[in-house]
Amino acid sequence: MIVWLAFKNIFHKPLSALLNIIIFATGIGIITMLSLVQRQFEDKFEKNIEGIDMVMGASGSPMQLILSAIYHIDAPTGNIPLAEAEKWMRHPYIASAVPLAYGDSYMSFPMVGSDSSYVKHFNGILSEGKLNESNYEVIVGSDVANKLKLKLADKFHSTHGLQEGGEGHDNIEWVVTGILKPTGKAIDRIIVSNIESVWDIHGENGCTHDHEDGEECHHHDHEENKEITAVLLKYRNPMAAMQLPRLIKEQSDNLQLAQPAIEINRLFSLLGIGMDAIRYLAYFIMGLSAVSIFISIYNTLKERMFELAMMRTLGASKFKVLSLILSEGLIYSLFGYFVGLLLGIMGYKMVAMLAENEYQMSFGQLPLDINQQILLLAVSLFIGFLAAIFPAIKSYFIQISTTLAHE
Amino acid sequence: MLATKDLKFEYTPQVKFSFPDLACNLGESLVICGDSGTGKTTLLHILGGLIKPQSGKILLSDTEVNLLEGSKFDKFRGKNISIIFQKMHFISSISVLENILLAQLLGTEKKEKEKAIQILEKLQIADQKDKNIKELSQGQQQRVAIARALINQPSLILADEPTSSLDNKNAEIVERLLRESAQEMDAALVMVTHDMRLKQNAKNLIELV
Repeated sequence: MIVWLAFKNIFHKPLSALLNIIIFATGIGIITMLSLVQRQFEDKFEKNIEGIDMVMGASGSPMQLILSAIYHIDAPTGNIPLAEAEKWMRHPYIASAVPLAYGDSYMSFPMVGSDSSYVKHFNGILSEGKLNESNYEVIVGSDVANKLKLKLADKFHSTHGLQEGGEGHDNIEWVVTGILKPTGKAIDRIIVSNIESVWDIHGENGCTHDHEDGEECHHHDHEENKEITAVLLKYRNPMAAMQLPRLIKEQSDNLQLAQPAIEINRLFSLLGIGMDAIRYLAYFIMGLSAVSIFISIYNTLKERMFELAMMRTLGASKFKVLSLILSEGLIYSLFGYFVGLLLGIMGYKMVAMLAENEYQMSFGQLPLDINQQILLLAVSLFIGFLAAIFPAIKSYFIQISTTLAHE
Repeated sequence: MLATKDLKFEYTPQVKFSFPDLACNLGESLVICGDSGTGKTTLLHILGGLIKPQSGKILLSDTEVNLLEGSKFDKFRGKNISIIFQKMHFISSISVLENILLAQLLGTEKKEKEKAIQILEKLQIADQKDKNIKELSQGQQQRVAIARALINQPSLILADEPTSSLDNKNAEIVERLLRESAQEMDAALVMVTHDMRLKQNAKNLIELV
């Protein structure tokens, strides 16, 4: 009954109730959305670097090397001579090495030339078709197949560079021979061919262009001049982590090594500063909403003193009146929390859609952190309690007789 | 029955009241009158259990009301005593019917919609039951206040100036309503007033001086 009455009291003034709930929900919504996005990003990024201790590529920004070689959301840093790379790929310190030649795309989906170890490394499993065997055969990730509606035996022309509308390789047709099951990793949105096709296409076409933008020609025809773009390395033992970077630096100064774990941490901490700033803003908004709830309860309390005194004469105990006012604060915060949760999820879905359109990065399931949400709910209730406790105590000590006698 | 003995109340040493002893059988009515400042409202609040007398006894049926404390007192008041104030107070966020039901819930922890509607019908305001109190006229509001006072079948009904703001015709109707209802419910009715019209009809009258 008390809760029902508290409801009635709150929504008796719908606009003021709406305002309180919106302010509260905004705070909750921002916090929820931020942590959803952050978790999703971290999850996406961390999943992809499993089993990769080091990426070897051309000199440049190490973060760019990681973003391009593992996630394919940035341009490559350049190419490295195959012979030089192979020297290290066969080094006893190395447990496994996945060579990559990339830089082309089809409808903005990156194309990556590699050997069979690539698909295996990212746990790619064919949902239909077969693995690519000869030149110009490709297998496509699940997102690519879905978005572009690619089927087995479909043919297409690729484009130079990662953006749509780049120079086309119009005289070469690629054929889809296999489609992969979803993995939740970058490979979902990648088209995989063998390296020889990449060499071939650029041997015939790539080097006849003038690269006005200064971009290097990817690969040359001659065996000894063959180039690749990057290599994903896994060390055999911890000793390798100590020794190998130094050895490579000494002996091949045109190569760059980048540690995915370090670069990704750096990326997170860069993003984290912005996220923290927004999060503090959200805390501030929640504080604001506590004040706004307090003010509206306190204001109506003045008008409602007679009502509350009347309730007391009708048999309501002091505690009942106290819990009525407290319930109002708690109802505000409960509503605020749930509307906020909804807003947060909606905001997250919007970010997910944006990310999907911009980066072909598909977000998987809602990574809702239950523990964090329970904490948020508890904090919400506490804020509602805090906003209502002072007016509630005031109503507890109402003098029925004097309130009703002095009108 | 309702009976009091040696009731005294003191606001300050200068402002203190000592009330005559009262007695009123269940089903009957008592009019208490007196000029302003003679402690009418104070006496009503003491009888209603809103304030405690410094000394003296109040007996309602078998209960010594002045000995009750805290939420026990709240409960007893809700169930057995109804007060109709001069200025009517309702919960403004809920409807007429819900106000009546709230009084029932607070007083007896029961909720009988049929009974509430019956009472409203008897007072001829059942058609207003879903309206907000503020949409009702003064006279209609008074009837709602009476309905609320009757819902728990109390053994004591207290009314503070129930007729003073009404014209002759309505004053008569309200007075009759109160007397009849008290009789029907077997409740003691105590009306506090300075209204001459109520005095004239009173069989049982006490003047405060």
